[in-house]
Amino acid sequence: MASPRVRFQTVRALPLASLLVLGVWTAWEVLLVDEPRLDVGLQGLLVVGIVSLFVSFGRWGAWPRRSGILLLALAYFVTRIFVSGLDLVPALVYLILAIASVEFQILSDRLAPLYSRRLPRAEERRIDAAMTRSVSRLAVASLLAFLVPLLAADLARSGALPATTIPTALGLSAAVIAIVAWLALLPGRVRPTEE
Amino acid sequence: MRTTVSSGLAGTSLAFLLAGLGLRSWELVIIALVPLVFLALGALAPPSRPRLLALRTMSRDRLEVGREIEVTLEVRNEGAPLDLLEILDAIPPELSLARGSNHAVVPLDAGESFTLSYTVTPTLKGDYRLGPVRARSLDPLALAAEDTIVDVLSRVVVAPMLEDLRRTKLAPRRTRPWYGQVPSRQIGIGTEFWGVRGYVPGDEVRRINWKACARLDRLFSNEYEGERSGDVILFLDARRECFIGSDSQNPVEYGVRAALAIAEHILATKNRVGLIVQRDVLDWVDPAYGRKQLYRILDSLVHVRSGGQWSFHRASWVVSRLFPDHALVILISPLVDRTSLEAVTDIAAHGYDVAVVSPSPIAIERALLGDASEVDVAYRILSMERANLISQLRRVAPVVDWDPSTPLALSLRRLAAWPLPG
Repeated sequence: MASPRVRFQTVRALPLASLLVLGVWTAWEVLLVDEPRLDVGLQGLLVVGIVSLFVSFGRWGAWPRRSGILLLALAYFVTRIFVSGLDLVPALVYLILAIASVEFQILSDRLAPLYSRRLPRAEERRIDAAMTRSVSRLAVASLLAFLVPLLAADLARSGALPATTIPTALGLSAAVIAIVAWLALLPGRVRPTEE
Repeated sequence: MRTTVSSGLAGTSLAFLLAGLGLRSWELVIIALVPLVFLALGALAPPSRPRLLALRTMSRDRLEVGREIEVTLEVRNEGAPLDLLEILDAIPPELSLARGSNHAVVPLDAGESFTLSYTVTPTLKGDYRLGPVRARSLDPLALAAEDTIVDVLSRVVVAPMLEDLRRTKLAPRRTRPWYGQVPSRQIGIGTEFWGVRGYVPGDEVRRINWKACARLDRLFSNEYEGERSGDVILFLDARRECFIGSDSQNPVEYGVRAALAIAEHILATKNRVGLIVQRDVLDWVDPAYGRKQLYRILDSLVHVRSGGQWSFHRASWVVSRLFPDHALVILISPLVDRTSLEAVTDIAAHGYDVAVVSPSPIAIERALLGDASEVDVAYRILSMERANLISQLRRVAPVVDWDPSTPLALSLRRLAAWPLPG
């Protein structure tokens, strides 16, 4: 097992690396756009998104970071949908990477302060176990989030599922709305400043 | 409880679905499944509400500022297994973390225990509580959380640092008819020779002055100066305007240190000591002797925080109604306004001996602000004003102008006799 310092640096570097990949990927897509009506708007989105991400490394924290990721994702998907055409596999990877970046950041906020201190060996082992559990859960979720939509797409294209019918659309909408309503009815987490 | 991440994922999914339906794009509808998979995995293993048992042990619960306390918190999971448990043992901001951590994120199986060890150092005197223990059971994907608070509170009393005044001659001038260690300028029981008188039946043999007997052929006995005890009243000025400087370095904190040191010294020489603290309320401790009285005074001083905007004019009224006359009143005040001059004059006019110990607010501020030229000019002007006030006060009472960066004993020793002989 790597030393606590290496683990600390890794936990710190993961969100940064994923944001860097997202930024470069989005910039690559947006800068190739040659549509006079869209390119300025998309580049604006890209710049504001990147600035938000830079700002988030200061004292302002989570909201600029999440807004930055949202703006980058918006720029990417608008480019893909309206200009270069949406490919399912890269789009899935992009979205999973964006979600993973948020998860990495949460993991880093939770665990990096613990690794930065000198702790007893037993405590370090427990924190390692917590990190392993989180990373493995994230890996499984990312894999499933990639495979399940691909499977659904294959089923739709093969005709096993009537993908383009009104009942399918209504059913999917009802399912998503039910999940959103369920989440909305759950009590919100207390903000750290109110604790 | 949901988190912002789960709300964000649900929103993203909904947005892709609506966009897919609106733009008639089956790819967007398929992409809407990605956040749903994350949400579904989170929903499959939601965090359970933590049921914890916590026990905190401390190496000590009474200590001086600057000493260390080792804290051990043992947390036992009495409920279901917890994937990720975030534990925070709340400590007041006046206790700074020296080693270890009061915060951990760990997995905890059912019946399993976890020990959190850390060391804190108090930076400010006071009566503090460690705890409660806050615990949050987290979903590894940060999609949900369950909070609980374990009410385990531990009291820590932090006393101010005690200045060493052993070599200071500090005693009340006027005494009461109780044995003590203050020369009373009256014949009584003591060790200092006072005079010789004719022998009276019942005098102890060791008091017979044999030289005088041999010279005058009659019996004579020695007389000694009686050593008695007196009363000292410490009057601590802790009004809001006395708070100049930082939380740990301000005239009120230094005044508390001075009051405790003087009380300890005077009680050790078998005198009675009483205390008045003028803050947002008027606190007092009636005069008494001994170690228990020192703890009473300490207990009162530990809770002193600056506050209140009472006028200082009524200080003499308070002293004369609450405390015996012929006492020595030691006013501990930064002398931030001229009302202290009136207060000292009034107290002296009521027949009390008065002395003033003044932790210098200017010296404290200067130490905090550094050596800029404008600070230097301001320091010189304020020093002149303060010197002027102190010279006026010295007509009525001895004043110790104490720079808190030096030991109090040094400032007190500069006075040859204190209080001045009447």
